[in-house]
Amino acid sequence: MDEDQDVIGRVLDGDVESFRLLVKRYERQLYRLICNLVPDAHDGEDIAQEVFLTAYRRLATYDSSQGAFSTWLFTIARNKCFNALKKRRPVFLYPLPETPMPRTPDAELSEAEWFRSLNKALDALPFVQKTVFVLAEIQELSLQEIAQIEGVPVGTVKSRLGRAKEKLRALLRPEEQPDGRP
Amino acid sequence: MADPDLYEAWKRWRSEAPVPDDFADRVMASLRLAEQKPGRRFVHMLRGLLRSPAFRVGICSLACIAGLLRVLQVIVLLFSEQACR
Repeated sequence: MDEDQDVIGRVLDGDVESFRLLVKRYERQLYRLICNLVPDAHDGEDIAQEVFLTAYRRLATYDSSQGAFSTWLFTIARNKCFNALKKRRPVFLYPLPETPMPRTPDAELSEAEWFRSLNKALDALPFVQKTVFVLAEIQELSLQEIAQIEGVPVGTVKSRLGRAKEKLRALLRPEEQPDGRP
Repeated sequence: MADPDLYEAWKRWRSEAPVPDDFADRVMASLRLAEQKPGRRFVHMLRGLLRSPAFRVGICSLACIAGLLRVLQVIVLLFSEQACR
């Protein structure tokens, strides 16, 4: 965190090239977050670039007492993704099947097919649930950090995460047999 | 593969998002391009100046002097009107 602060100080003093250190430090995490929120890879790359550009322009407004630089950066990314999805919503949304395709021993799907089903289910989640899921399960951030990024209480994060996980896990749940056996 | 394993494998797969090698270069290039815009230079210079305490004290002092001069101007105007009567 202190290292980030040093670099930020240098950039604000006019050493633009120091910003590259911040890009290198966070590009992986940021890219992963954006690619998981926005399904189109090309859009993801553009958004990631835009996020760093916005962060650079607003660097003077970053207050380290309010949270880590990464949290601030992820908040910008989350908002950029939200705007991008809002503009292109009809293209990105896949309807969730009413009854998710259940896994049965007879109709075992290949791993790739399940991955595709899960991807569609993830993309069909409401944005707030999707963001919380990605931040918690894929980015592995703490609930406090997620609450800060989303601007909601930790309890809300927990309930959104629970709902998102339930929808996704429903896809993998084996179909109940009439006699109650899974 | 058991269901939880499948779920975990999918999460691992989702977390693999390789960053293009030249990504940082492209970010820095777009940043330099944005910096070259005349308006941005002025904003950057102003931001740099505003970060300096001496500059801020100077600006505040000038504002105080301007305010005082304006008050004096009003007082002078008031007295000159009274003298005319």
